[in-house]
Amino acid sequence: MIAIEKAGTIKTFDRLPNEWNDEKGYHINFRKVTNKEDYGFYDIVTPEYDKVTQQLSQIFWDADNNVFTYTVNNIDFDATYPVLDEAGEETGETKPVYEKDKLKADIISSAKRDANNLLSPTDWYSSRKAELNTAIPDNILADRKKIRDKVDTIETEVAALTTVESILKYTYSFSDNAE
Amino acid sequence: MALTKITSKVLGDEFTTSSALSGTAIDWTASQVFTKTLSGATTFTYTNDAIGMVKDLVLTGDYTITWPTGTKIISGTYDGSVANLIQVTKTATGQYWLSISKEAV
Repeated sequence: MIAIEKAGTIKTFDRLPNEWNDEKGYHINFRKVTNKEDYGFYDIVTPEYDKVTQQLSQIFWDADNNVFTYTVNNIDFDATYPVLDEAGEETGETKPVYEKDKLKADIISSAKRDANNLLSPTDWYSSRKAELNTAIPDNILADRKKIRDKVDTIETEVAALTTVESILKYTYSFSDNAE
Repeated sequence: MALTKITSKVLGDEFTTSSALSGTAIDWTASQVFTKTLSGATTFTYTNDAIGMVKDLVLTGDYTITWPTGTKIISGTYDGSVANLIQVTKTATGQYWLSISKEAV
């Protein structure tokens, strides 16, 4: 990634444009330039950061190192926002930006949806059992139980999470149950 | 006998000849067609250009080319792997319209 500052605005590019127009003239086959810095193009250096708990600032010019870069800022998980009434006036009440209960509910809802998708291909065994009393094969029963048990485990684990960060970083996988 | 029709026989070199550019300054009254094989990034300049004049350049070489300020590209993309026909028209003071055609291979 590269960038250039023109008229106070930083423009970013995946690579040099093939044509470029500046005060020096109109450049074609511009990607072949070997000295992009002479035209004001410099590399973008993106610092390492935790995408869950941190975010990048606006891009800026780092004159000390001759690169465009970002600063890394920690996300304020305790941030709140003012609640507005119907007229758009602040009520004096605030709500957290990151609602732990809602974040937890979203994970569990997602897990149940995934489990349902995994169970549905073998649902017909259950229907056949109910209608015709035909036994469900043991391996199918075991696989379906694993999926349901996994959801129970996820619900327990998510309920035990206490911080926004731990909730946002929580991941699960049904891959052991995949057929 | 008065000349009543302009024919190609009476046109000067600037309309009827082709020359190889040795430098990067293009004298618009020197030839109609200019050819050059680039050996590095090249910045062209113009002399004796006048509004309405049209010049043709046949350029090869995979390097960056810089045209004078006021240049506008009408169409085409320079391809350094083949010969390119570049036609430049001076449309106003400090204004040049440029089209690029490349050799079909």
